Amino acid sequence: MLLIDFGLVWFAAYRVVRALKVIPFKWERLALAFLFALVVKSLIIFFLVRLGIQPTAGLQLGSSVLVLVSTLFFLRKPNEKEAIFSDQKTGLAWVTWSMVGVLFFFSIVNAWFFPITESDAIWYHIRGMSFFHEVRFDSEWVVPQLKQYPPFIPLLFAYLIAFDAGFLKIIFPLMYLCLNIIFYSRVLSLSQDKKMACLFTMVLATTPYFWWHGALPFLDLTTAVFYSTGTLYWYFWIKNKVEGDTKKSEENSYAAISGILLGLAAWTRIEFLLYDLVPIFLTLYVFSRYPGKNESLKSLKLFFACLLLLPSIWFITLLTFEMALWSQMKMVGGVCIFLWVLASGLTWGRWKFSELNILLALILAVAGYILVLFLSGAGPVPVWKKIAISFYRTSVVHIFYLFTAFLGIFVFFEKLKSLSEQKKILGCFLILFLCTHLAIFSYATPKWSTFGEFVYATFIQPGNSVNLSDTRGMMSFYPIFIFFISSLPFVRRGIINE
Amino acid sequence: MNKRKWIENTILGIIVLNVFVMAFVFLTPRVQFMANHWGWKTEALMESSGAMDTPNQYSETYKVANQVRKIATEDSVIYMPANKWRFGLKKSVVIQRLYPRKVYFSGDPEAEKVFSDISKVSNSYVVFNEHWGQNLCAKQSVKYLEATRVGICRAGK
Repeated sequence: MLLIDFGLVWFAAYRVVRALKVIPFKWERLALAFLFALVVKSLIIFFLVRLGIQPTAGLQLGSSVLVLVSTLFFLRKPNEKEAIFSDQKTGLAWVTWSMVGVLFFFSIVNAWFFPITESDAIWYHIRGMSFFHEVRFDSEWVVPQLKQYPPFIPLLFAYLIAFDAGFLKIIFPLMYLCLNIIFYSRVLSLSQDKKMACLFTMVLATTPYFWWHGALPFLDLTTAVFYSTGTLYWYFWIKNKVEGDTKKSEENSYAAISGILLGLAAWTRIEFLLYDLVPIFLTLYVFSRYPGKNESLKSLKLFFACLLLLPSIWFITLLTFEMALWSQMKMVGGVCIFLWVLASGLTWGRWKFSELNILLALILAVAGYILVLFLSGAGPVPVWKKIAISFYRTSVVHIFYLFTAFLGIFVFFEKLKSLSEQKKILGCFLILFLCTHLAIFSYATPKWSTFGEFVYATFIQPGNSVNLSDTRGMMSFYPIFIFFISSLPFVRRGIINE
Repeated sequence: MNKRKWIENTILGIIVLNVFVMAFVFLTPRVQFMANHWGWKTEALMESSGAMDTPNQYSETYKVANQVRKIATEDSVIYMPANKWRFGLKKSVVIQRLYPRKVYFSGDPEAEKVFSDISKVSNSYVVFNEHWGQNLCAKQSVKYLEATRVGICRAGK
């Protein structure tokens, strides 16, 4: 029953992805459709629970049939153009996919064997059970802080519980596989070279932290999959915009896909709405620098609407809870409102920003953040210490990503000034991501109050800090970072015999 | 070594080192753990020490919760000591294992309301330890849980 139900939604999602006409590889379409199918399932269950209807298996199956029928009715089959690189050797591709396959298999076995006993994951399991049995989002059995977390993973648990599937962790290995497939396809699309795609996919797939989280029931791998793949599609949108050689329909498709995926990251971990400020800021920068003639801004409308829809639904739901909201949640909610105002102004109000305006906004945002940090800094740890600890963590957390971080040495061999505009923008993305990470963890109360304890937990007892939320959050950075390195001309010349 | 070789070899080196670390830190200990515990039931795995990379911090709580789960039916209400009574059990684990049974911890305002007269709460159980709850089970037959200093009694019919 579960397989039939998911198969229906997956097929419907596949038809949607195919209709977007920007994904040239069948495997990539299937992987992206899988992610979209999870979204559809989560939304069906969300609205059933919201309406007070228990999401039983039968009801879900009916909804899935409806979803499929609507895609059969509204979407026509486009002419598929499969990109083929037949002249290239495929030996390395076999090695790559065998390696990814073996790691995926181990991930599945681990996820199947080990029950959910990890600290936060226990609460996600309880939330999943309460969504299904109590048909409400604010169960009295869940602690207030966890109750306010976005519902994506608990909704998927509720889905599996409804179909009586005991194997709740299966989502995570599949996420790991989808990430690798999409990453491979995007590097291949950009480089047009299988060897490049294979080598860098192997780097990503073998990064121990990613494999490890492929069998752990936390929010972070899922967030990383959504955020990083969303950014890769966003990059193709921006790249086409900068190069000015794109069709409107392609531009809209990329904007919608990236918006949905970036919104999904916030639908999984709400603080990712703050990380989403990075692509939003850079999008505004690109649109101000490359204003098109008679531009309809449809792609921008789609991007904002897709990105903000899911987190907004959750904020509206939170308002119905009979409890005091967490101050951090209120702050992120404020950012969401600000983004709606900005999006409305840009698309309907036709606000125009010059490049200078955008840079001034960045400077003002940094100054405003520092002011807020000092005004709200009356906690047990002084503000300067919080910043120092966050700076230290943002710098050293990369040791947990081990050798993959060493890819950074290639940057020092590249003539950065001669990089194309879009690659510079991607480079800025990575720097701004790290700055946002630094800012978020400077605001949050550190786990330990002294600097020494953090040094101890990094180098002497790394087991204490390997799974802190800032280490886990960095997972969203690495696929983009590896993609950036693969795009450097110096690296390309070194791998492809040009 | 020419530039081409240098770049490719660096990337291949990164992959090999990643695989080595993954095998050494995660795969081997996990496979060993699985081999040693193959065929164990989920409840037993929850009560085990866990794999080296993700040690199970709550095995004691799982031992207690799994035993209570076997005694109390799904529609029962369970009253438990809070951590201040040196109960030392993880609240989330207790709720996870006993759901959909209603679990209340002493000291919670809701619990005080519900259990003001415990004998009137139908199908209710009291879990007690040496610091809390023994008086609530004074007139009831008591069962001590295995390998713990915790007992349980049925308080309400």
